[in-house]
Order: sequence, then C-alpha cells, then structure tokens
Amino acid sequence: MTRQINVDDILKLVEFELTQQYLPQDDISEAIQRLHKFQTYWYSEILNKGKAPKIEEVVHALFNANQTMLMLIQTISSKFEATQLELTRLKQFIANKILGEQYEDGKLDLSSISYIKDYLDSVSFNLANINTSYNLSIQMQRSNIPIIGTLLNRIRAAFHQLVYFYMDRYVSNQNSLNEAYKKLIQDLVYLNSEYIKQLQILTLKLEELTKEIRKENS
Amino acid sequence: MHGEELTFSVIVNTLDRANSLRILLKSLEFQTYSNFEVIVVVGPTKDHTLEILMEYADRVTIVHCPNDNISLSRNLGLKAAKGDIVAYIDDDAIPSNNWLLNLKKVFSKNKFVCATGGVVFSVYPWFSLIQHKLGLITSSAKQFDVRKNLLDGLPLETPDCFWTMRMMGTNMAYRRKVLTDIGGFDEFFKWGYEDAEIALRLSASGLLIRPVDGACVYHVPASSRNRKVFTSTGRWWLYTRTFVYFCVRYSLLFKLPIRRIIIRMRDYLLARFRFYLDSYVKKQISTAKLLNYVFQEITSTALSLYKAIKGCTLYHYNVDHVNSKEISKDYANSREIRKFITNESKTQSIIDPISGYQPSVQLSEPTLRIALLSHHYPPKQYDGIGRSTNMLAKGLFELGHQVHVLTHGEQPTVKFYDGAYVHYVPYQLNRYNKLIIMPSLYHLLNYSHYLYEYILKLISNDDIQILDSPLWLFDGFIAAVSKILPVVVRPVTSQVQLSEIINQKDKEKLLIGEIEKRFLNIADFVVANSKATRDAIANIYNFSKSDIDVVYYGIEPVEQTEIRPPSYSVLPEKFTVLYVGRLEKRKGIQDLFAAIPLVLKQIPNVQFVIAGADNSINDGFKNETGMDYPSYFAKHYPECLSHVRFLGEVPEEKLNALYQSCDLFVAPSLYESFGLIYLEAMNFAKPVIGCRAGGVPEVVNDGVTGRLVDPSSPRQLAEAIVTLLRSPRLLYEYGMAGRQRLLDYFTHIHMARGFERIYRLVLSQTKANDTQS
Repeated sequence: MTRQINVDDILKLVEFELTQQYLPQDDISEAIQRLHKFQTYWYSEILNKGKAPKIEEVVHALFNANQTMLMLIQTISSKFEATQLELTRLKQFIANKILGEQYEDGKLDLSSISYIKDYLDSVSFNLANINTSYNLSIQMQRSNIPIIGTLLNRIRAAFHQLVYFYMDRYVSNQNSLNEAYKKLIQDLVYLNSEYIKQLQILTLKLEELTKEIRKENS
Repeated sequence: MHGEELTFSVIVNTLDRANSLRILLKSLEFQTYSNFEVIVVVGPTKDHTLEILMEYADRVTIVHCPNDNISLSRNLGLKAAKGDIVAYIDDDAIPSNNWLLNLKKVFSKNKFVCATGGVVFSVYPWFSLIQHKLGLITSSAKQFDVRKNLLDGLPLETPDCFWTMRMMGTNMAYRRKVLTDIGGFDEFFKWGYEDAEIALRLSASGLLIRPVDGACVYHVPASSRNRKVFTSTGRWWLYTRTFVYFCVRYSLLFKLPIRRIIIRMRDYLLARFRFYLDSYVKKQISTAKLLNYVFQEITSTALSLYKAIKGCTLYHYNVDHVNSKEISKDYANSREIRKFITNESKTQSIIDPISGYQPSVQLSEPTLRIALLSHHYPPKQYDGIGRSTNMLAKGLFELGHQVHVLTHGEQPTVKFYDGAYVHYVPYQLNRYNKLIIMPSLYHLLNYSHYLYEYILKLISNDDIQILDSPLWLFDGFIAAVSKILPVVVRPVTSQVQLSEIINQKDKEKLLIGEIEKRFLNIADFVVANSKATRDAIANIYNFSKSDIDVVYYGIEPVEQTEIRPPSYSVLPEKFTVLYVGRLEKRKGIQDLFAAIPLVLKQIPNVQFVIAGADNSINDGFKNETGMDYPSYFAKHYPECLSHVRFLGEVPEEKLNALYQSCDLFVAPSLYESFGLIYLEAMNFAKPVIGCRAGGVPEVVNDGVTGRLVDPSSPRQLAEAIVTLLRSPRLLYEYGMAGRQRLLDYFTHIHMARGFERIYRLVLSQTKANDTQS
C-alpha cells in the first residue's frame, strides 16, 4: 500500500495475527471458526462497503486467508504426526513382544507405515501441482456508435483482455489452490480414519498380548 | 467422554518438611477442580508435620510410611487412594490453580492416556528456571528434561534404545487402576528415578504416556534428609544407586551392547567424582567426607550392579503387600472420596510459597486472581511503572489476592518475588513484518502479541480473572483487542503528552499515540494515578472525565526506625541536596543545573548528589549539543563541579541510603503524571521540592510537606532550596509532615484497596454482561 499506514490498518493486522494465534491451540474447530470469522469480515469489507477496495487490499486479504489455511492444515498435519508417533510406539512394543525376532530381522510388516508415507507424498504432489490454467469468457457491452463504434469496441476489448489476462492468472491459481486445500483436507481426514483403524487393530493385539502375559503369570 | 465424573486423589509424600507441607496444603485450597481428596503419606518424621496435619484431620487422609523410601511412600498413597486418577505432588511444590482441571482434560480427552504430568518451574528468585517440560528418558537413563514440544529432540528409534515420555515426580498423574495393575513403584528406588522407571515400565507395557505443556507446578526445592538444597552436601550415592540400577537393568533388557553400557556408567561416575573433587577444591567438603562419599559411591554402584543383573526381567511388583494398617477403617471401607475443598476455601488469602507468610486478612469475597503487566520490573532495572506495579502487586498480596506479573526477560522463567509470581516473557519478533520500517511499533506490537499468548497460558494454568496493563508501551493492547478477559488500563504520561514536552513528533510516535487512544477505548476500565492525569487523558483523547477513575499510587512505608528526619535545631556542616531520576529534559535536569550556581552563591556548603541514568541519547539532548548531561554540566559550570556528584544509576539499597543521608530532595520535573519519586523521599521524612506540574501538587502539599515552584524556573528553584536550607525547623517539619501524609494517603495498601474495588466492579459488570448476552 502506498498510502500512510494508520491505526485501522494496524487493527486489521492484529485481527489477522489473532486468527493465526488460534492455530497452535488444541482446538482446531476454534481455529476454523476464527478463519470463517476472518473471511466474513473481509467479505463484508470488500463487497458491502461503498468505497471500492484497492486491488492490493483484495490480494492481501486473499493472501492472508491462504496463509491461514496453510497454517491450519499444517497444524492438523502435525497433530496426525503425533498420532503417528503413538502408533509407532505401540508397534515398537508389539514388535518387541510378539514379533521380536522378525523385527530384528527387518521382516515386520510395516506396509501400513509406508502406505501413510505414500499418502503424505501424494499430498505434497498435489501442492506442487496447482498451476492449472483457467479461462474466463469476455462479456463486453458493444458500442453502437457509427464509425468510431468499431474502434471503441476494439479498444474496450483490448482493455478487457488485459484485465482478464491478469485476473485469469490470479483466479486460476486461487482456484487450483482451493482445490489443493480441499484435496489436502480430504487426504488428512482419510489418513485420520486409517490411523483410527490401525489403533483399533493394535489395541486388539495389545489386549491379546495382555491376556497371554496374564496366563503366563498365573 | 465428558469426564466431569473423574475423581482425583492428590498424594503428597512428606518427610520432615512441615513448613513446606503447610504451604502446599494452603495452596491446594485454590484448586478450581474440586473433585479431589488429599492423601498425605508421612515418613518417619521428627518435626511438627503431624501437628500441622491435625488441622486438616477432617479432610486429609494421613498414612504413615515406616521408611524414608519415596517409592514405598508413593505405593502407600496409591493403596489408600480412592480417586480414578492419582496425582502426585511434592511437599515443596505449589500447584497452579487449574492443575487438576488440566490433568483431568488430558485423561478425559484420550482414553488411551494412562499417565500425564505438566511443567515444573523452580520459582526461587535466585534459582528460577524450567525444571521439567515434556520430559523424555531412554532405557539407558539418558534424560531430556525440557523440550519445546512433543516431537522435539526425539532420540533415534533403534531396537536397543527404548525411550518414553516421562513426568517429574512432583507433577505426575496416573489412572489409579493402571498404576495398581502394573504393581506400583519399584521400591528399590529409594530416592530418584522412580518417576522415570514407572514411565518406562508403563510404556514398555504398551500404555500411552502423554505429558503436557501446561498443568504447571511451581517448585520451591527444599532440603531433605538426602540433600541440603543449593549445597553439595547430600547422600548423592543414593542417586547413583538408583541410576546404576535403572541404567543397567533396562539397557540389558533392551539389549544395549555391554560396551555401551560400560561407557554410559563410566561417564556418569566420572561426572560424579568430578563433582566431589570440585566441592573438595572449593573447600565445601572435608577430606574425610570426600573419602566417605567415594566409598559410598563405589559400594552403591556394586550393589546396584548386582541387583540389576540378577533381577533383569520386567518387574512385576504387587502393590497389595503394602501395609494398610495405618489407614483408618472407616475411611478404608467407604468408597467415596473425602473432598478437600470446603466452602471457606474460596476466601482463603494467598500464601508466599517461599517464606510461608500468609497475610492475616479475612476476605468476605473470593480471592482475586490478577495479572499485572509491566515492561520493566524489580529487582532488574525498572522505571516508575515498574515500581508502581511492584507496589500494587505487593499491596494486593497483602490483601490476600493472587498476583501474577508479566514482564520482559531473556528466558521464559517464573519467580516468586515481593508477593507475586513474576513471569519473564522474552521478545519474539515473528509477526507484523509489514511494520518493520517503524521499529518501536514493530517491537511493541510483537511483544504485546506474545504477551497475549502468554496470558492465554496463564488463564489455562492459573485461571486469571482480570488483566491490568499500563497505557505506556501498551503491553496489554492485543489482549484487550482479543477480549479474552476484562482489561483495566493504567494511564500515566501519554505518548502525545511526552511528544509535546520533548518536542518529538515523528509519524511513528503519533501512530503510537493513536494506538493508545484505541487501547483506552476498548479497555473495560481506565484508572488514572492522579486527577492531573485524568484531566490530561480526557483532554487529549476526548474522554469524559467521569469515565476515568482515580486511584493514587502508593509505596510501602519503611520502618519507623529507618526514617531520618533532618535535625530539628542544629545546622549540618555540609548540606546534601539529592536528585533522583533519569537525566532528561522532562525531569527538569537543565533547570537544576542552572539553579546550582545560584544556590552555591548564597550557601557555599552544599553538596548536590544526582542519581540516575543519563538519557541524553533518547531525549535528543545529545543530538542537539553533542554531549551527555554530566559533560554538559562540566563544560558550562566548571566552578560548581566540586559540589556535584553524578552517581549514574544506583541499586535500590544504595538509593535508600541516599534518601536517608540527604537533607533535601529536589526533582524539578516539567511534568509528572503522579510523582512517585517524591513519595520515596517523604518515606524517609525528607522535605521535597517539586514543580507545579501534572500530579505533583496532589502529592506534595505546598508549604506543608515541601515547596512547589513553577516549571522551568531555575531562579524560583534556587530560592526555594536556599529558603529551606536556611531553616532547619522547616526542613524537619516538612519532612515529618511528608511522612505522615504518606502514611495517611499514599501507602501500597491504600493503592491496592482502590484497585481491588475497581477489579471487583469490572468483574461484576463483565458477569452481568455475560448473563445478559
């Protein structure tokens, strides 16, 4: 922004940072609510006020929203990492107790872990693949003025093309990014359900093991 | 699972630390989660522990432990426990108010978690550090006690290195059934490593341990039979005994190569012997003691090695063997826990965790939990706001309230100082990058934001109800914007006023002034320190005067024996005139310089003592003149140089001596929002001279406790100094009247009472608003 920064700008920055703040907290749903609130605020700021916003402000708002979204996904992802850690710990125990020899020989079935890794790889791949093209159709009002009308239409079309050229690039990137977010979240949700399944299987194994140990002890 | 039904058994293992135990029991009254019982397991005590426990006979279960063995003591507590969760805390620790609530959340949230524990802060003023946070231990006894997060500093997973998260003994909780099923604590661990061992055993059994970055406990390490705290005296070989046993047993169990076990042991023992040798060289222990220690270390190591190699299987200990005779039959037969919290608990006054002093005030309403902000705070370098915040904290403590002060520090530690838990919050410059071109604003906003994050933690840990922030540097601005809790703002001199006084009006300063205005607007209450401040703030920021309350600041009166009023009749050989304050324009230092030659012309035997840091760089004086203030004085008044001493910044103890030894106190500030500095002199019964500016006339009663002159009038100032120095009677009368005025209106208790009233008002308003919405 070229104009002088004022206290309202600072308050907006504070609001944005406060939105970020909620992400490291335990409650992810709270973070999503804050994100939603932030988006709503910007939506009303951009569309409902009389004064037209500057393009930089719009871009900045969208950029901030994207940042928040990424932070949110990172947080969710790191939470799954912690769950994965717990799973590994359980596996280590079971490997030591039930499949000790196999584990030492490197024969333990770790396919589920590599499966998780594949998923994370595909998530990264999705992120890298966001530059898909997207075309906007030109809807231009034509001039009916004789003689210079054609010229005016050409000039107007050229201007529209110029605007759409930049808008197209931006919108298509944003769309792809949104798609990537969606895919990421879907993947993470799927990953979570996989973790839960694994946890259930491991818990059953653990119960069996506990029974065996008790039998041995008795 | 909601988890509200979870019951807790808080187990305290104690031996000969009656005073610490008393403090802990008093502190447990403040737990916000009331669904808990307290079990105190007393070792073979020789002090008055049992007398203290008699006071709690109706709500504490007392169990006797025959030996000084911590594991046995913990097992006895477990045996007596009835709660779903057993939470262990040491007798020399103070739980945060939400300690049990936070532990409960962990267990309720994840049914797989069988053990948890929180952060441990050592809060001694001279020994403040994080002792434990998200700790971790390996099967070869390598410890990682403080980690940033759960995934920080994890050792490499190999089949021969088993590791687990662990908790510190003074802050750990377990599902009772799980702990009983696994057989409780291994009683070989007489002192130390029992907390790590149980964690390793639970983890090796496939159970989940999840320490948390919260649920904190404030630790005040006390001496015991095994060690004398902060010295090298102790039965350290007991620690070696448990270390060797732990290390060898679990290293063998997880098949660590023998060579690596030997290296591990060698390193540990060498470090231990080096420690003894250092103590011997420093003459902290005698030769006989050194030899005894070495002998004990060797025999302990040998015994532990034998035990560890012999018993190298997963230990299954039966908690049922513990002697339950000591538990009263009535209690043992009942299934319900005996709740510790009573109706009176809420109105108990807070206790000093170090000295055990508890103000003898009878509260009719619940104790308040307040967070005060102050960028600078004693005992480190501090300013007027730091001093007034310190006095407020002390006053509120005397009124029985719990106070947490958040101030700037290099390391994130907590110490208990002058009646308050002082939390040191470092800078984190990772936000508001857009404002980097305005460095002051950038720093202030980042710091304010980090403070806000810290306050969130404080709310989670200590259930803080209200935040009090100075307007200056707007530390509490982000917290106020976020509306996480009610905020009271204390304005002193505003940035706009200051810019006008020192004639610095750059854009950044103006923007800071704008933020101050917003801060005042969003605050729940504004409390000025004088009517002058109230009027100035109302005028500058377009406030109604009725929206700003006034509470005069105060200081702690010194003992009557410490005051030194000037002599009633005898003139001293040499007069001492004292100035205390930063050397800067606003404090009127140039006027004092100009007055000095005028005074000396009439009374040559005067010595001027000027105490305070030079601030010529920040106030622009150095830019204008190329000199700092002492150099300026030396250049312009060389004939007076022998009569003036520049002391620079002086520590508080020395400052008190300066107040005691002076005959007259002078501070010709061009503006003071209140004038705490005059109170400091009046405290020692000294007459004062100030200017008719800001809040000074509200503190200094002209012609009664001192004299007031017009600002920027060196001639008037010199006349006032001469008049007073020529009349010992006036010096005496003004001094004594000043002291009396302080006792009548300006003590820290007066100040704290004023703020207490406002905090309660704000809380009741917030409650009413919440109910309405």
